[in-house]
This record gives sequence, C-alpha cells and structure tokens, in this order.
Amino acid sequence: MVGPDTVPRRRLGARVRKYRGKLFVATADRALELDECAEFVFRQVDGSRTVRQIGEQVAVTYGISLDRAVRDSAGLLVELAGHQIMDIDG
Amino acid sequence: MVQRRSARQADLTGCLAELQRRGLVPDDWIAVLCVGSVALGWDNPGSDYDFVVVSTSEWAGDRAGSVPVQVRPRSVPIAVTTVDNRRWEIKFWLDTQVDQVFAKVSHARFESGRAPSRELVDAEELFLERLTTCVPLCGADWVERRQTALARSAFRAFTVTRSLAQADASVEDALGQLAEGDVISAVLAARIAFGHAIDALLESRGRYGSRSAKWRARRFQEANPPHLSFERYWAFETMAGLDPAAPERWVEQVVEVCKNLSLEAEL
Repeated sequence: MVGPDTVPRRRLGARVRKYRGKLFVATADRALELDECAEFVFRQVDGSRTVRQIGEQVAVTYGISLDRAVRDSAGLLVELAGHQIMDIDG
Repeated sequence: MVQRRSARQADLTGCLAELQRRGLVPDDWIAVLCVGSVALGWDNPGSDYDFVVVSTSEWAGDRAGSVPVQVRPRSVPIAVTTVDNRRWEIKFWLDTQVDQVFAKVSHARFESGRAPSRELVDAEELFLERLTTCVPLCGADWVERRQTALARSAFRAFTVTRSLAQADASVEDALGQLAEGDVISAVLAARIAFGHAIDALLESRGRYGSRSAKWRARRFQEANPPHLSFERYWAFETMAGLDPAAPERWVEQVVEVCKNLSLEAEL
C-alpha cells in the first residue's frame, strides 16, 4: 500500500539506460520505457523523499493540482514496484 | 589539481620532418597524427611519442612488430625509433582499414544489439579514441572529416553500453557478496563498479579511454561532469571514505552513486 508518507526506493538491481533522450529501466526479464513525466518521478526518488514530496515537485513542474500529482505519482510507483523496479514498503 | 598542458605547447615542431628524414612516412600518406599522452599534453619526460600514419597502400618499410585487428588486412604494422633518447612508436593504418573500423560502429549495428566487445578489438577502439584527441602533423582535413564521422557514429553508444553493463555486473556482485556476508569481496566489487560507472559517464561526454584506467582522473578533470564534483569522485576513487569498522556502508554508498551515475550516462 502506498500512501503520501511512503518513502519509495529504487531497487539497486534495476538497470537504467538513457538512449536518444528516453529513459529505459530494466529488470532481469523486461525493460520499460518511461515517458517524460515518469522519468521525472523516477529521478525524484532518492530514498528520502516521501510520495507527497515527490508529488509536490510534480505539481510545481507540470502545473497540476497537488492531489492529482500525488495520486499519479503513487500510481506510477506502484506500477514500478510491480515490475521489481521500486521498493515501496518503507 | 593537475593542469593540462596543451599538446601544442609540447615541442612537436620538426616531428614530421624527422619522421620523413627517417623514411617513416610513405609517399602516399593521407595523414600523420601525434596521439596519446603527448597529444593530450599529459606526457612526462619518460613518455613515448606515439604517432599514427594513415596511407593508401600497405607499409613496406622495416617493422618492429604489429598489432592484430579484425579488419582486412589483419594487422597494423609498427615501427620504432629513438629520437633524443625518446622512444617513438609509429603505427601504420590503411585508410581502407579505417573505413572498416567505422563500419563497425554504425547506428544500425548498435541497434541490432551487437555486443561492443564483439565489434571492436583493442587496437581498433584505441584508434577511434585517439582520433578524438590527436594532433595532426599533416592531413588535418582528413582528421576533421573522420572526427565528424565519429561524432555521428554509435561509438559513444557502444562504449557507454559496455561500461554500464560492466558497472551493473559489478554492482550485482557487490550486493550478492554483501548479502552473503563476504564484505571484503563486496568492497572490491563496488570499487570496480565505480570505475566502470565513471567511465560510462565520461564516455557519454565524449571522453574515451576507459581501457586505460590510469588516466581516469585526468579525463574526469577535463570532462568536469556536473553530476559529481572532482573531490567526491576522488574520494570514492581512492576509497578515502571507507571505514574499516563498517565497510558495508561504503559499499552501499558506492552502489547508490553508481546507479545515479547510470541515469546521467546517455548512450
């Protein structure tokens, strides 16, 4: 379960490649291409920021409401966790 | 901080004439390049002078040896001479060999998923790397044309991909060893991973030469990447922050830094 106070962490086993301006994140069996906003969220994850703090950055950068930014960020982080790219247990 | 001395400050005056006087420049030359530490201005009084001669026909003069390449012909002849107690080494490349090396680093080849280590052998990679930093003694137009082609090629993508793959593999080693309590091996694996991650970052900024780790700090100074200060880089490189009482913390820090650097090393 991801809440606003969850502190996500990137899994150190995930592999990251930046190619032709796009960010790809891969685990052992599959690679995901992150769009610009997803890359922004991914880069905000530093092991200390909460989902709310990440959402605040998203809201400011993309000019959307804080509620929506937190909700969208949380959704993405859950998806990445499902692909073994993110830990959201903390 | 070590200052770079411009190669043009080094005394290259007369080198071409000396090579010609010793019969080391064929009549059909296309370019003669000073390469390596002298070209970079990183030489010291004991450094060799390294030159590359590019021509249209095979070197027919005396040779001290040759290096294997995976293009045709299969080797690059080497001549060695001594000038004022300095060793001069000259490699003789054919323009057609250079064409073949460039064909190996096309974007089509890269996107086909070929492993970089299967594309370029050491001598070929060294040639391309040195092309970016050489000082032409003659044939400057040829050099400029080849440098432009190299910048448009997938050479950067190949080298960055290789370094990132090596960094990832060493990170996996370090994490696995840490999990098993093999901390001393994890420290060394993390140290190796860091070197590869820095190489990837520098290669992504066009500073090649990862096969020669001794120049990594100099390359870092020149690239001056905004993602990591030289002081922080040097602390990891020299393992200055390693606490013998808690080495696992250093391993975790290094792994984290490696992963963050891989975000910045664009292929």
